Amino acid sequence: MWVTLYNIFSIMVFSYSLFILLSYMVLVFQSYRAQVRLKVDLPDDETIKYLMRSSPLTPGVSIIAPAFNEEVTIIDNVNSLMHIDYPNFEIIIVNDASTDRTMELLINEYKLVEVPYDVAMKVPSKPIKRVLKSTDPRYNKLVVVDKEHGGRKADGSNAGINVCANKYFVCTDVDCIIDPMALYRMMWLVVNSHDPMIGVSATMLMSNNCTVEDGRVSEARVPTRYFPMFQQLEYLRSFLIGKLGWSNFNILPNISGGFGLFDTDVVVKSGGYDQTSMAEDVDMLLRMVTYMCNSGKPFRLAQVPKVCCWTEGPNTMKQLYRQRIRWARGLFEIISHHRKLFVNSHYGLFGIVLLPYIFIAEFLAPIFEGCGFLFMIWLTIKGGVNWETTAIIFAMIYFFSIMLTLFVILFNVVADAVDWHSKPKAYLTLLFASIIEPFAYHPFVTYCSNFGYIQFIRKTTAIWTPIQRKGVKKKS
Amino acid sequence: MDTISLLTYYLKLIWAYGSYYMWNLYNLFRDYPFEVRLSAFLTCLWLIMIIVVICEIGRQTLIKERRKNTRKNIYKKYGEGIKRILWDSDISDDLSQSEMISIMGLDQRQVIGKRLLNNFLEKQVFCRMVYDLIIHDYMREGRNKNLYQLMDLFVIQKFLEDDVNYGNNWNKVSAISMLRAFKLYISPWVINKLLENKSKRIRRLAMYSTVRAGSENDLDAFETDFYEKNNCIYDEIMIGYELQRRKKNGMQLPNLALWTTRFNSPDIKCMLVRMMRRFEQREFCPQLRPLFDATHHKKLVEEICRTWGYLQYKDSEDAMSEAFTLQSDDTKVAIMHAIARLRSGKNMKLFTYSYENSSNPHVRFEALRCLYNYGREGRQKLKELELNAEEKDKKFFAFFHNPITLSKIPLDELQIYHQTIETSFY
Repeated sequence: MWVTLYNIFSIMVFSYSLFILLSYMVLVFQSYRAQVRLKVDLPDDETIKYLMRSSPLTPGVSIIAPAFNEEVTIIDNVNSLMHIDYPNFEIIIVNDASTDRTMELLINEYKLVEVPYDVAMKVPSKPIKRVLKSTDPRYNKLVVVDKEHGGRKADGSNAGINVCANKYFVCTDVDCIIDPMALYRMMWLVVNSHDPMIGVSATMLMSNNCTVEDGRVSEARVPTRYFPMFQQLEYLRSFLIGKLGWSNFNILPNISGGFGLFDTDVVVKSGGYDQTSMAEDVDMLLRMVTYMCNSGKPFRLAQVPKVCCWTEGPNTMKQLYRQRIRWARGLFEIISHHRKLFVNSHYGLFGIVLLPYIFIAEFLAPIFEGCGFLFMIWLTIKGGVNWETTAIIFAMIYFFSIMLTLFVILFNVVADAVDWHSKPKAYLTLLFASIIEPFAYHPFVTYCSNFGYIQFIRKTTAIWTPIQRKGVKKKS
Repeated sequence: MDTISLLTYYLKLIWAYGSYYMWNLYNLFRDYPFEVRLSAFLTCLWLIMIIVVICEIGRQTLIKERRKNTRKNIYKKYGEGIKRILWDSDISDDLSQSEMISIMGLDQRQVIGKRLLNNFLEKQVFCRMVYDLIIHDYMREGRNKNLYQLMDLFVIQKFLEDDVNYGNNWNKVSAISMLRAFKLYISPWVINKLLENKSKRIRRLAMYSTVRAGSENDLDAFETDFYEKNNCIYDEIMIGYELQRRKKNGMQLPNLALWTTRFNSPDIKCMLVRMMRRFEQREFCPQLRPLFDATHHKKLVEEICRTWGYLQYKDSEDAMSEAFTLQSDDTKVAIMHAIARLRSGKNMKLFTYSYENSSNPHVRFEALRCLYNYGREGRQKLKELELNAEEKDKKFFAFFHNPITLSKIPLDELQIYHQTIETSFY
């Protein structure tokens, strides 16, 4: 019986690996197709700006950035948001009852006064205490919302949605560095779509090791610190292969909470962000899709290949551990909450392809890897390992991962996602990261994911701990 | 040995080596289980692909580097001169080609009878440079005659037309965009061919070019299934630019009210009605009445009301007030704003009625805003309502006391249309 079980398990693991490899190849191909299409459909930044900035029809965008105890960086960050280049936008800073001087600094710096504001509570959030605007015309785009403490980003975002006056909004973190052209790139896809564009995802990268000048990234570099370097690679794979590939089918696994554009009406009708969710961004996207499919309305989702936002990733093992546990719990939660969408043709490719794929390729992967690892140890102890065969199978997976990194580099060069052209060091660092990743990083992430699943099953209380930011290099 | 034979020889050589090693590999793993054989095959495949991708990265980087260098050289050689020719106020708009050559600091003897741009890349980079300069300085009025002479001197029209006709889709898009930006003539034959292109963006660019041509059947090119199924906000932006441009040049604009009958899509009808408002086609307002009576499309009714209000079509007031009670809340708001704009004094009670009877706070607030905008009489009424308002409704009135809030209340769409639109090169 053990032999039969062993054979079944081996075949299962091998077929699973093949499925993952094959699906990645499909995504690489689709991503390539998307880039060919976008090369024609998405003009260069200057042309987009030229066409959109002088038109009265350019839709307005609200940028919502929740803030909690950000006194050290708040002024720099708001100034950075002010540098965004777009003809019609407002910045909504949501102060989640900070206990430090965040609010005081904002009031003094931007000459804020309380104004009457008819806030319709379209989506649930903690009560809004006051809305403030600047008396200085230079800051007329700024709206500050002071609310009771909600403790979650989702609550702050919902308060921002209740105040926002535009048809589209971008949800971001107050410490993200947004590319000045980001809104133009995203809105170009919106104005060029016949069917309503309900969400646009933009490529995000690590700001660790980058130089920031006047609130914008003046010199992009690949992080040299251990953990951010691997995350950079993960982000690039996820955005330039995964999401770009899926966007070709008009589906997206998620629109990042760090920077994503949404249709305000659809978000409101879908109920806004879920304050209890650990993966509120994925959850909201799925609810938006559910709402659109249930109403029988057509919709579009898109991905911008160029880097639009820079964020600081976890620097230490402890921070990364917490983040990945949260992500794993979030994934489990999504799978269980949205199970009615699975293999349900009513939800189109989301139900038929994407969610089963997420279940098989993302949810089950850490479990298979964990079991495989333990099984391997057991076999080694028993002396039952055929090392020749193991080496060949390992080589297949290892070279595939390196090939994938090379595709990422190629797509980056072709799509001009980030300007590293004259910096071969950046590409070599990424390649180096991909060579050591399977031994030095992946096992840790797998462990975190499995631990997150166990925590979710045991219903351990989740605590949201914000990442301790180290800050970026600034050039005055 | 000629090239083809050489190529065939090398291909055969690669095939022979490939077959040999594949055969070796096959023999090496012949007795292994299927999984191992498959893994070995895939590993070889990945290795081959790694080599191919590395080569492609190198090729792409080289192309980009070459382009960058060419760009640098072209900018250095012609950039400053072209800026002077197109925008310097000391230079006339009627320069001869030899004058241009001397402004660019080139030696006449070396240039005469020779091509200034030697290859495809140089021409492409040169066009891009002029295009960038134009779109960067689009606010400034350029010197058109000099631009035509410049294009003639560098033989650009022929190059761009060839690109439109024979280039790949990306080249076609950039070439047609440049032709439009440089205001060069695009032959109808070329446009008609592009109207059938598979790429939506190319078809769109071709459609906008037909509006620019300004024939009697201005919007004929839009009367297609393709447009009915693919219209978007960008079309409105571009058609708006084209019509604005025609208006500026003193050319006649099409009767947009008449065009609303030619399309089935309510979205396109809405767009045309908005355009009427934007281009102030007052004389055609009565022609919208049959559409107003016949349609059940909420957005279309709203657009018609806004247009009537903005264009001060007084005869519409009765029709709008009669239709008021049956409409949705958003449409009611649009009707109220239109009536407030007409200011005939007949229907002010509509606002007080809406404020007092509506359960939707948005409608109530907008009713007060209409009163505020109605002039002295309306503001008097607003004060009366405020005095009698219950405590929970006081917040509605606070808006009308605070100058910051009032200036930040989202602009009425009609006001947005009133803003000046820069005429673009597009």
